[in-house]
Amino acid sequence: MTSNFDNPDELTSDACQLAMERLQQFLDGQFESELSDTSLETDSHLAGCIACRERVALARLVCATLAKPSTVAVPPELSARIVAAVSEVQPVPAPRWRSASALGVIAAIAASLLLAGWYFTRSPEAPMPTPNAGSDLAQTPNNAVINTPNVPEPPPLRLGDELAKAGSAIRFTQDSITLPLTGGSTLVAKLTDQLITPTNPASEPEPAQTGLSAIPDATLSSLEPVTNTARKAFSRLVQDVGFVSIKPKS
Amino acid sequence: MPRSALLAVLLLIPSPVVAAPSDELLHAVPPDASLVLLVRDARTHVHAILQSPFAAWFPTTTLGKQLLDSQEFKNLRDFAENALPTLKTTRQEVLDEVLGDAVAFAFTPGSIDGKTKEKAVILMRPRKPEVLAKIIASLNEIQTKDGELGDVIPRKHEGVAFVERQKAQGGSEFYCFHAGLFAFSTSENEIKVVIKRQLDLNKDQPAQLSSRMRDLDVEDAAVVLLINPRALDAEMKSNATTAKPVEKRFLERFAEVWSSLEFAAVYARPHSGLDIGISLRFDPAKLPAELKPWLLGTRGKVASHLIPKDALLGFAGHARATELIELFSSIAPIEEGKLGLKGWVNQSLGPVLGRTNLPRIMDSIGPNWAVWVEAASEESQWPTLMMVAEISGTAEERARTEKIIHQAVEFVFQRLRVSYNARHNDQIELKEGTQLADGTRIKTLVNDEGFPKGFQPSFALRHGYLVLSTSPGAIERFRPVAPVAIAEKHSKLATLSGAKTRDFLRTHRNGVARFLAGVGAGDENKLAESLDGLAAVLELVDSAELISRKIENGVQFELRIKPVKPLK
Repeated sequence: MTSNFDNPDELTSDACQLAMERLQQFLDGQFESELSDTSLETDSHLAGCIACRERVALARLVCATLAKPSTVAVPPELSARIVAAVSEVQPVPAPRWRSASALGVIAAIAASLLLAGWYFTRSPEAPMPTPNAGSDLAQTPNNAVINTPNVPEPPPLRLGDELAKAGSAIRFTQDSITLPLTGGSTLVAKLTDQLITPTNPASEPEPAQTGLSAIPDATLSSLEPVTNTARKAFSRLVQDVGFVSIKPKS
Repeated sequence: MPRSALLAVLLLIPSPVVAAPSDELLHAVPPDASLVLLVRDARTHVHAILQSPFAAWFPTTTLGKQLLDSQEFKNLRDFAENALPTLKTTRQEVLDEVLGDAVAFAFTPGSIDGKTKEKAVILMRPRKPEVLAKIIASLNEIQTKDGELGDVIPRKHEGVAFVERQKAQGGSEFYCFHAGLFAFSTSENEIKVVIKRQLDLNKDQPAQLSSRMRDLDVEDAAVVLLINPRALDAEMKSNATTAKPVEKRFLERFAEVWSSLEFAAVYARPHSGLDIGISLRFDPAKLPAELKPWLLGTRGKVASHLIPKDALLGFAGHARATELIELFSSIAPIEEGKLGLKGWVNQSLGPVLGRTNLPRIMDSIGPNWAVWVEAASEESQWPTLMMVAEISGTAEERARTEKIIHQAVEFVFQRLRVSYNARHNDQIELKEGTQLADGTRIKTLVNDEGFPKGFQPSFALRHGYLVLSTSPGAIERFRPVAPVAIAEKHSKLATLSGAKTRDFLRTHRNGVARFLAGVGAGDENKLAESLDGLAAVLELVDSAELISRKIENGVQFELRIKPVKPLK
């Protein structure tokens, strides 16, 4: 018998597809409890697939965000993971929806630069959200170690990291809105299904979707070289801008 | 010589052309880089936006509160508050004197076969290079004292000084100041290449990338991401070769179009609103013939005038059904053993319209068509969906075509009715409305029990258009407006009214969420929260338009966003 392990690429593709389907079912509200406990994390495929683990983490994030419409609370440790993730070269083919979100990376760069510029240059007397220094420091991944007795000194503050996290906040705000909308095609199919059920399925011609429905996925596939390059460029920019780093004690 | 004569002579001498800071910068950017991100004139844009009504209002919006109160932005501000004083500078100084003129980032990924490595360089054209030099000197001093830097070593290349920052944990970074520009890279070679390019520079010639931006009509954009298609050719081909069978045809077709793409750019242009777009320029000789009319903008004017001004959302086009079928058939993926689009049309619509009539009917549908969503009427919880398609041809041909189309659509409506009634206790009726003044009779599927309130799928042929709608009242109101006489240089493909769509979401939030949940789109509460999220984004948008504009040998697609408050 031929094992799927004979062809790692195929395994990645098929297994990721299955994982994606489960994730979609979760997003449709069918398996909420599975994601809320650790069963997915112990899944054998997820144990070895960074991309799918990220998908699950992001799905949790989106759902958590949607559950609290008044705030977009990005878990601090997730930001650190994202910064780490974008900084490393992905060894597996980029999943579709991450490819799509890579376009968002470009928008996020522009938006975060604009917002950062605005945020920095607002006049001091303008009302600013006042951070609670103690609690904020305790929550941030970089500064969390300040309260950890085993670590002697805090790591340097890196401009690249902070910009990346701010960019991520924008991306996730956008994702929290756009992700549920990506189920639009499913919705149309379900609406249509309410009206149309073939009286005799055998007599139905093949659906037109055989070609047309594959266009969105195929378009994303065809743009992967561009979106992958954009993602790599963003990682490199974050890494290079990181040369502006200051240790807090300085 | 009298002073006045000397002055006259001096005035006649042409003054030296002063290159814009971004042009100066682009001379130093590698023209063969895969991606070049350019931010120009940030000082003017940021200051203008800071003074704008939008900037004063944004923090009070739902989205503004979410973003500005987020931990990430607080951290970013904390970083600025901690780091900038340490570096003996201020936010204002960094924006005005360092980043305000032009900043670029050029990137080329490593090759697929691993033979060439990734390349990247950051370039700046500071208004006051001495300010940046002071900041970098402070940074070097602090990082050396903190033990992050092992050493800072002055170096030279072709007589030009550059600096190596040796990191304590291994590895080096390099930078140089030359001819008013600053360059930074983790690769020594990249810095040397920048120096060489500056030394070989012929200032009389425009920078290659400046010309490219002009050709793409993005030279005035504040943010531009230039894409060099040639740098991604190998990856495109490899992508098509390794594609899944179902996508292979599309990807091969895409690779063919990609090879005809000379250059491209994504851009953002803030003014009182915000324009975000993509600009594509092709080599017409290499572009597949059937795609030229679509990508080189030689098609007719899009029928956006059909969309009413008060529509929530609308799309318009200028294409006959035959052309659309040809287009999609030429690019759409075909699954093995399944019919392609043309096959499906022949098999499904052929028997309904008559196989001999099919080509003629398809050619008569169009070229003007539009789809839009109107605000819900008082008796409906749903907005009204309208689809209109022109029936063209001579009067006699059109009359014959309209009759066939009417019969075909009525057949489809009847079929829907029978299919539904076979599965549901509640039943649909096909009703014919009273005759309108122009002789039109609207046919409607009615099911007061099973359909959402106000949902009544209807059709009619009116004013030379096939009109389909979810409300017979909307068909009754339909009056095709004559195209706008003003010769616009662009075609409007889609429109969105942020205010009206947001109002609809606010008013009908619960009903829409309930309906969507009812058809299996997800959990009702979560859907309601998603609708809140969408409304939060729309709170910023007064209206938006998607337009296409012809440029020489290419096309631009631009999203024009008009915010609720002016951005500048």
